[in-house]
Amino acid sequence: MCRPHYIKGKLIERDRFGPVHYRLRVAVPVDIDHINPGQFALVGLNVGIDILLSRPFSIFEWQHNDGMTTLGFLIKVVGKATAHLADLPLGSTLRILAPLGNGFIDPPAGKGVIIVAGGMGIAALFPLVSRLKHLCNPTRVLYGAKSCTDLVCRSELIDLVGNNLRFATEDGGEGKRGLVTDLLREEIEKGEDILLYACGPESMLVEVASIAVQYQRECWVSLERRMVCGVGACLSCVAETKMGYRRTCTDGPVFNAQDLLWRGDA
Amino acid sequence: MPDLRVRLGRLELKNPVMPAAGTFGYGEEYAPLIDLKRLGAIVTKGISLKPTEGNPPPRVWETTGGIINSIGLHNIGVERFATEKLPFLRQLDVPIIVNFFGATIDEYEEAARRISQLEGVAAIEANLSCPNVKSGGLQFGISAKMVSRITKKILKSANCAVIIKLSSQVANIVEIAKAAAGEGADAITLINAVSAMAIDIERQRPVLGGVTGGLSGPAIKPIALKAVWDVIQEVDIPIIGVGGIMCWKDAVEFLMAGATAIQVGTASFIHPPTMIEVIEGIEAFLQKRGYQKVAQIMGCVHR
Repeated sequence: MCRPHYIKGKLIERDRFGPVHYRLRVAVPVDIDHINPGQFALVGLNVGIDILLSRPFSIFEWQHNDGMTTLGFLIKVVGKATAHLADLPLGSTLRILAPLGNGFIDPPAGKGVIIVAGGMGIAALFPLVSRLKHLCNPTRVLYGAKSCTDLVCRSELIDLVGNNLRFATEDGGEGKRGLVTDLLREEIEKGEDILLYACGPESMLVEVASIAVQYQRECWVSLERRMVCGVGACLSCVAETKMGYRRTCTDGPVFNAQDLLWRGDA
Repeated sequence: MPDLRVRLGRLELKNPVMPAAGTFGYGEEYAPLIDLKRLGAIVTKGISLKPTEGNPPPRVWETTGGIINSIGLHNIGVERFATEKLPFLRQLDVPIIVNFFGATIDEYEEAARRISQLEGVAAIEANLSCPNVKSGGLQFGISAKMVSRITKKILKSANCAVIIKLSSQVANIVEIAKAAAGEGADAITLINAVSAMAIDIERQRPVLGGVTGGLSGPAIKPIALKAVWDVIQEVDIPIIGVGGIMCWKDAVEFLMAGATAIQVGTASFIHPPTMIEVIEGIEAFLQKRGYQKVAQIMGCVHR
């Protein structure tokens, strides 16, 4: 795994991806030559004492050449740090610590995969979908959100998986009315031998993990926790597992769902 | 180049800058990010005789000017520390200060004996001040009599330098510091995180899994500075100042208040190279002012 770099980055691009959703592109003057889908960065905002800590964001996309790397982050404005990022002038400096965490492991060759994304969970899963296409693993994407405006990157996903993409929205504005886990039950009942990858709200992950147990499918989930150092030192971001507390930043964020204990500790 | 060497009782450091316990893991976590060899010392996460699980998550909350943590002294225990973490630290050739705690006086005594016997441990720092666990030291750090008793036992069983880490949240910090000094501790560390909490108004519950936690970061710097200021006037052993140091200027304030060395905690989370910048900043400041030794500015505000 690539060692993390701590470096000043420059915000070079911001595109609107939804009503309060943006893709930020940050250029860093180092060659980060290997990033796994599901790895993340800590992004530091330089705004003084109200936003002291750096914030973890999945690395949504990346590109490197000649001593430069461009990292893409998909963000939704949910609080003061994301609001700040949505308004930050292009050219601003951000402190980047990346790449961090384990990321998703590749499935066995040829194995069918179901991706379960809830809301902004797509940010961690999108590069995995891209990777699976490259690996030629048959992949279906199930993507749920509160309403259709929270479903982002739809055309990009269609480019990657075509028809193998189903939506669920709680208000029924797009795809099936209900939860993405309803779609998962439908799909999994087809009985194929598939592997699951999921990222989304904790309640969704709990349900996905329980479906995986019920149907005896291997399932990998990416967790989100309040995080401080990102390098395994402070033990703030621990998740409860059958082996005890494990660090989301360095032992995760991707865990085998069967190792996790779900106690509503998000 | 100014001379940055400082002495903490039996311990000599090439410069006065080190991490605060619990903010730097076991050192190795930061190896990819900063040159550990440049640090004055490395202070480990608090170690106990047996592994400690720590508090339930959520363990951290950001607040204005600081963070509240309730990690709860989560650590791998003395045995695993000795076999898995110490060999890496030893080869750095930087003094290793092992922070430790116990649930009873006997445990402090035994932990002090075991840890101080480990090859490469330069000093032990007894945590008598963790605000986050019921039996994490603070109950031993609130009375001068108790501090005196526990310091004596630790000093007797340890064969290396002994540092006592105290809380500022006591009736009379000067009396407590005097108690540690009176028994012959090599140095005192002031202060630990300050007891604090936050409430989630939607859930109508405390935010932290441990209910209450310890506030660290720039919000507590003035409190820590005042504790150092008070204690140095009455106590003649070296003080390690810690609390909200974010940059070299903050560190110089602590030195001027009378601290012999300083620890950096929260700032390393936000900006990993902070300690290196603090060392360079102190050096540049001394040079600019024409001082030859860092000792020349120590406690200068009292003179």
